[in-house]
Amino acid sequence: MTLAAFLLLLVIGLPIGLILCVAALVFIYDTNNLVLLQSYPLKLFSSLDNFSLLAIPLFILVGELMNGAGITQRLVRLAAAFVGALKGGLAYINLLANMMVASILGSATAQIAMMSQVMVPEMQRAGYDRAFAAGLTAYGGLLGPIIPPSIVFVVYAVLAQVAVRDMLVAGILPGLMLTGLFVLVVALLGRRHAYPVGTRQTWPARLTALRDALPMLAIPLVIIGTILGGFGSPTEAAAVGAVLAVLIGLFYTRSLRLSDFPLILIRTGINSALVLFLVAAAGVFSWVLIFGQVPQTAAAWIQSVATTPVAFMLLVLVALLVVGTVIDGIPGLIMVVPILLPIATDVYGIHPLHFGVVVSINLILGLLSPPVGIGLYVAAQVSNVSPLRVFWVTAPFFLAACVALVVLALVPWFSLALL
Amino acid sequence: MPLIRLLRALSDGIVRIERILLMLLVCAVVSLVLLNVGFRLFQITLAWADELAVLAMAWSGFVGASLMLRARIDPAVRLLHEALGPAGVRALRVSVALLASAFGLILIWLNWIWFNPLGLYAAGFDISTFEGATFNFIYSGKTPVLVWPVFWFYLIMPWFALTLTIHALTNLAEDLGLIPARDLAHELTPSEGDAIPESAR
Repeated sequence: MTLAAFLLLLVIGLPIGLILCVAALVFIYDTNNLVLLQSYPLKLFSSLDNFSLLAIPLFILVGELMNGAGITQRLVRLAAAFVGALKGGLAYINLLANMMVASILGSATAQIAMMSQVMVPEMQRAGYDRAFAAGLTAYGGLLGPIIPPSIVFVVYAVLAQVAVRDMLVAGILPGLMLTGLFVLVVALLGRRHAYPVGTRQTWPARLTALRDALPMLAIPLVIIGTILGGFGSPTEAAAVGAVLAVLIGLFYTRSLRLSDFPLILIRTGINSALVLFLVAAAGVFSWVLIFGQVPQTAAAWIQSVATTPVAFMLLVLVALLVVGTVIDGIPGLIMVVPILLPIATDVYGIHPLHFGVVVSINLILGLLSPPVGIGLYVAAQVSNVSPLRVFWVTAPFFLAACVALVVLALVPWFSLALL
Repeated sequence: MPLIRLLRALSDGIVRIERILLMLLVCAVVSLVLLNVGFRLFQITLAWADELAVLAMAWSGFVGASLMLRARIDPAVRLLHEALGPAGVRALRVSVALLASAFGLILIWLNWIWFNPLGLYAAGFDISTFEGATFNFIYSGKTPVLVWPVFWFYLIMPWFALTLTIHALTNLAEDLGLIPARDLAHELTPSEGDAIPESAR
């Protein structure tokens, strides 16, 4: 009954946080555990009483501040200065700029929407196919939730009760690998299609672009450096990053004004509440499921289908690709991790960090798979092309990402090597 | 329809309070974390600042969630909304608002049971008598570091239940066409967010 209610609520479009809350109530009623109702509001509150979650509002604040400081254009100019003269230069610029923006933003759909507005008109003017430009930007946007500081990984770390720092580190090699593969695909496609060549820039122009973008790059570097070097927690690193972003925005780029701050604070509050409420709802939901022994039942069923860790991982890959097509990364994680993680670690002995990297990337890739991938629609809508055409034109990237995902799933080394 | 106009006015008033509250809470979270970073330079850890920061963050989560529901920007799967005609979409929106209102009412009821004000009154506001009679220890719990009574912080839950219900009912009135719709999403996230279609949020 709970599953039926869950699916019905999902289809009619109730907000996902509320679905989890309501499904928990239905489950309590269904299993006649009415005594749980007494602790229901307490459980909802205490799911947020978690120190690791503090990183979320701070990461989002840094992203909002950087947005206000005019970052995207400068990063695009920097990438243009160095790889613009290659065949398909703008395609590389798109990926590189996306990778740099990714280290700051951390949400795929937001990044795709933002970068599409900047990159697609630019690429079309240079002679690229509009659908290809939109699709490429969407794949670049995938890097957002993978390269640190990634909010998706923070949420996973909280759900899985692993250190946020470790989770962020685990994502570095997979993020670089995915970027490398996408670059390779651009190079191979460039051999078949005649991609336009940009103009070669002089060294003084390159240095100017570097100087303009350097403070922008300093912020993610300081954040990542603080976390990796063990100088502070991810939360503290983000707080330092926020101060740096305010200083740069006010005094260096001068595009941030004090009058912008109320709106920045509100947006930070709303965007972090979006994640926090999902976490709270997931807390209640998984608490109820444990009382109903659902993870054990699901584990027994999955064990009867998948006998080896490899089979289990492949099963998860396919299932999550489907889930990911309709649900964004963080809500997706929140719905599947409470059920799948205990099975992955206890039954199949999979490392929780390895599992986290694979599951996160898997859900995010779902954003770009037809028929309903949301990321695909965002890119298509911003660029005014049909989503299906965007998908077909950029299918090689999808294949590359799938290959990367299978490799990441089967070879834990990529996720665990840097720890 | 004076009752529905009152509902709308109430919801608008709550939105104003929530916006200010949200700003203050985010400010508090950031300031408390920064305070701790500053003191960390001198090898001092302020455990109370961490505790307050986490509590402020928890509050901000519920205040923001209520505001998001009113602005209709919380993440949901709205594929069916795009596939159906106007009548179907309206039916879906009404059912979503109805469900959200029902959940809000249930949450108010659950908070009523939890805080048990009648039981507290019956015990003459004596906490040990209340606990002996109900086995409900909400009023004697303390926060770990500051040792403040924790129920003050739990009060966000009944407030959340109340604002959620009022916002959901207001959305319902909008969807039924009883009052004109207010584009709160646009007021809260102008410029950049405009490019993102509703289904993507």
